[in-house]
Amino acid sequence: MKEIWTEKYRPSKLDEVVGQEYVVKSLKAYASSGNIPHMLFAGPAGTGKTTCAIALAKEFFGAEWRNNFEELNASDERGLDVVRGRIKNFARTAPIGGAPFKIIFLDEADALTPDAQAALRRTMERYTATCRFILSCNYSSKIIEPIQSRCVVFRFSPLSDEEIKKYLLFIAEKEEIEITDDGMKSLLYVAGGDMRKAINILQVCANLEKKIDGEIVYKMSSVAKPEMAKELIETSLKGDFLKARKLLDRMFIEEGLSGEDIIKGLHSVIFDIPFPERKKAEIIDKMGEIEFRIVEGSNERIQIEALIAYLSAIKG
Amino acid sequence: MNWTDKYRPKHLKDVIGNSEAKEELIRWAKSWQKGISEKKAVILYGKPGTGKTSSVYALANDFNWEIIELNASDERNREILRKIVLAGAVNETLGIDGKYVSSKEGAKRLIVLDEADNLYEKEGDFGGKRTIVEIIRITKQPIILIANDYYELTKGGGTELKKLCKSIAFKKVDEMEIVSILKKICRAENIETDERVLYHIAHRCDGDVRSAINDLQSISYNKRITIDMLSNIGRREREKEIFTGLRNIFRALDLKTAIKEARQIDESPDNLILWIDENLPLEYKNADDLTRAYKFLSKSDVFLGRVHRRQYYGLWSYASELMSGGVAVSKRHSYREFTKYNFPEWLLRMSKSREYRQIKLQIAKKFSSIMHCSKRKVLEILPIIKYLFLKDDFAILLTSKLNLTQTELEFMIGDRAKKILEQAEEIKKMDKQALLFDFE
Repeated sequence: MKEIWTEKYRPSKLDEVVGQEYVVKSLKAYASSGNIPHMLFAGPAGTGKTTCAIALAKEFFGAEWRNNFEELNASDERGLDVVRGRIKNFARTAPIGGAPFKIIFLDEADALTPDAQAALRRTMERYTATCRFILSCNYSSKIIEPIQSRCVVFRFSPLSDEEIKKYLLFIAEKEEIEITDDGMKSLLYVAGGDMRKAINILQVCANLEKKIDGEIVYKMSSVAKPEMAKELIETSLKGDFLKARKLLDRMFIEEGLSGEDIIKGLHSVIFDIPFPERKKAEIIDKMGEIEFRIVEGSNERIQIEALIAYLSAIKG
Repeated sequence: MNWTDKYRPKHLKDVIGNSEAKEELIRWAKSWQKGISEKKAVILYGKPGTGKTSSVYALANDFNWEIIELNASDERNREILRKIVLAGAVNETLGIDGKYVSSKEGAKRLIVLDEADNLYEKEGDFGGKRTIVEIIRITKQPIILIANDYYELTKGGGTELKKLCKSIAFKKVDEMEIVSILKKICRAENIETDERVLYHIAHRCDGDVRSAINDLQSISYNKRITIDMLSNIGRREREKEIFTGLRNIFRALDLKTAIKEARQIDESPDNLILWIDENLPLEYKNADDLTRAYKFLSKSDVFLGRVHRRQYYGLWSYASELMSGGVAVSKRHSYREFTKYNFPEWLLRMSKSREYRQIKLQIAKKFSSIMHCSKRKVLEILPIIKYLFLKDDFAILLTSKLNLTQTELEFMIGDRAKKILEQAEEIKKMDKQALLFDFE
């Protein structure tokens, strides 16, 4: 095992894409007609948005796909100016290998503010002659109307358990590992329709055992989960402030987590903690306030300590 | 390496401050060039870190003198002193190890007795001062005594010393001169620094260049100095004062008293809140007290954040009052036990955390290039990747593929990094050769 499976087993042809039949059918039609519109891929994580974009590029451009396909991440590029600069640079040169245009894939486009999206719209317009845009997002409602109206919108639905199961079995065969029924059930449960998550956990399990059963999946899924967050909340609820603070410092220092990361992690596990529901609602309210303060520029340690102190005094 | 050693001046002209003292020292050294000086020994005295020892070494270097140094850590009983110092002083060609020193023919040997005000009359050092007086009388070589406390050295049996020696005082070094040397060091070490910090360091060290340089080094571990690191330094004596102040705040029963105590600590609210934060949970053992106190403390911190964003220092008073008074009146129990307080180590560790975050981002960037997803998403699955890195072959291949650096790899897998990196280098070499082969 020397590769990241999500990459090793990423389908390179549209035909191999799991699920999303309607989307795939349309994309294949575009690829063979030679005409591709601007597109918006909307859907949850791990449903094949990036895979479809890459597969389309490979099919459409053939061997020259790398030169004619540019991947950008809206959430990574600070400010639209960077995005615009890179788009400009890429769009400036002619397509390679006789292609009629290039494709720009802008991932996580919903990370852009409405203002930045408005500017993006103008950029899209300017390079329409030489470039096609594929934007991806989790929620199409977060993309402004003018962009949506210029794009063909494709909705990616969560993959069914059957679809994920089929692909996991395919991988298992190639990697010569065995997944028990129990193991598969757990994998599907943990993945929740997210293929990337399913494959990641499968690989982590396979790192440990050749035979993957429910127990291993359960154990390994915690690798991906903010286990320390859970421990922090439990320690706090027990009223051991100093121990909880030590844990908090470890998260800050050894894990290199930011205050925002930590509070988000705490928030994500609060539902799994056995505690009276109404109290939990109050805790969530507190967490929101604390995250707001941290984002505003307060001292992340003091703020989270205030939350720990609050938890340590709350009576279940 | 210790910067106080690394940047010890080589020449007297590079020693900062005390220009009169240095000139006098040069005049004395020159008088030795014409034979044996009228005053065979000099006493350099003054506060620590004012440049006494540095001046002596720089002087010896400038005049090409060999140095024989004895300090308080040497066993200084009479016999040893006599043996070593007399051997050095009288026998012009014999080194202390008894071998001939022919290469420095004609050169003077400077005998330096550092910390001369220490230990002399204690047990085992009996008669130390008298011995030195004797030696000065018979020596044909220059002698320098270094002391912090002139009175201690010259009282009692030391009155004779006073008569025999030329005394030169070293004064506290001027703040601006200290700033200039700190700046020089920062440049040499490629440290990015907020200059205000250097002024604070220079101010705090009270004319002691050595402690200023030590302070500078102690906060320079990641090549960047920011103003908020100030509270890491000057902890020595200061710490005790702050602890007393903290105790008074925590035990105050009304707002006014607590606020007054906070004011007396004389730290900026930004720093003070960290001290309070560090020690509050050690003092308030009751959870409800602690929760109430943290409610005020975290609110005080919100005000501090607003001060910074708006640069409106009018809010400082609210912040100070909440962190001291608010905390003080939050308790319903009295805490009488003695509590041992801590320095807010978090300050130091926080920059470590920032460093790690930076490393994590670099790692995420590299992985996002092969994983077709954003850095943010890579960060989410970083625990998984870390886990997969437990397997050597996986780690080695990805390290070579992504050109992971040692720091990045250490963050992922700790001590195994070195081994993995070596093997990844091998693979890269092999790949290169394979590539050349392909071209043929």
